[in-house]
Amino acid sequence: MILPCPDPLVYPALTRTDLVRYAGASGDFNPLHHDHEAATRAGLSDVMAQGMLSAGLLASALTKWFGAGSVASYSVRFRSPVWPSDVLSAHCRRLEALLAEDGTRMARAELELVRSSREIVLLGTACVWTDAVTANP
Amino acid sequence: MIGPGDIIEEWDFTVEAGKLREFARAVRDVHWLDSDIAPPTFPVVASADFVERLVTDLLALDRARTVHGEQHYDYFEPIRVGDRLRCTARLAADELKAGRRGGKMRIVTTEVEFRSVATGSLVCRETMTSIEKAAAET
Repeated sequence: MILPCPDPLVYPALTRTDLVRYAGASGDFNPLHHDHEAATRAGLSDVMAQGMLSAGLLASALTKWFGAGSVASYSVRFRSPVWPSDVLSAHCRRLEALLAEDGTRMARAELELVRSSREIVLLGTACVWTDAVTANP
Repeated sequence: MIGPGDIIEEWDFTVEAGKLREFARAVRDVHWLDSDIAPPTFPVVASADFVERLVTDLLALDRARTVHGEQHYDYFEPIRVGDRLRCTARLAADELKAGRRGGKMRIVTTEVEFRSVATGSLVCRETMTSIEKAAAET
């Protein structure tokens, strides 16, 4: 059964500070994400956001929509680099109710993280246990 | 030399309240102020030091041409503040494929399993695919 998708979530424009904050929080200190000289030496025009920052932002849409601890599985494929000043939004494109083998009600979500230019930067899929889904079948 | 299926490293990781909150804030998790449940991608914190060593030393990938291809998580129990996790990293695959512009690209898949030290039960499995693009022809 196809369920109604939750509303998109728009994040504030990404700043260099957001990248540094994520570097410290995650422990990913690859210089391409905070050191402009290292980034340009590697042929980039600017520091590039950590892929897992994008994956984390998309996952935060899941926990906002379905609750903390609701995610059973989560997969992402990186499609395009993300840069400072990008405005990203998280979208649920399809939500389908399904029954796990043990009878647990779950839902499978198809997800996209999109740049304001409508370019997909990250494709995701997730399976969630949700009160919202079980309470509003 | 490590090969597919080999355990690369094992280590323990404690989920600290302050670290969890710092991470949740960095990924704009709306529950960051009051939840003791880790955001879905929090396991990257437990594997960050390992991934750094893996990329730079164990696999010696060239960072300037290495990109993160995919990341996958399976969750079996919520990860909570105070949990102590035994982390086991395995090399799942290490393959060379013909690059689109000639040369060989290297595709490396690693898997980290997180088990509760207290109960031994599997809490989470994290799978990561890195792609080292073919070197430019000189």
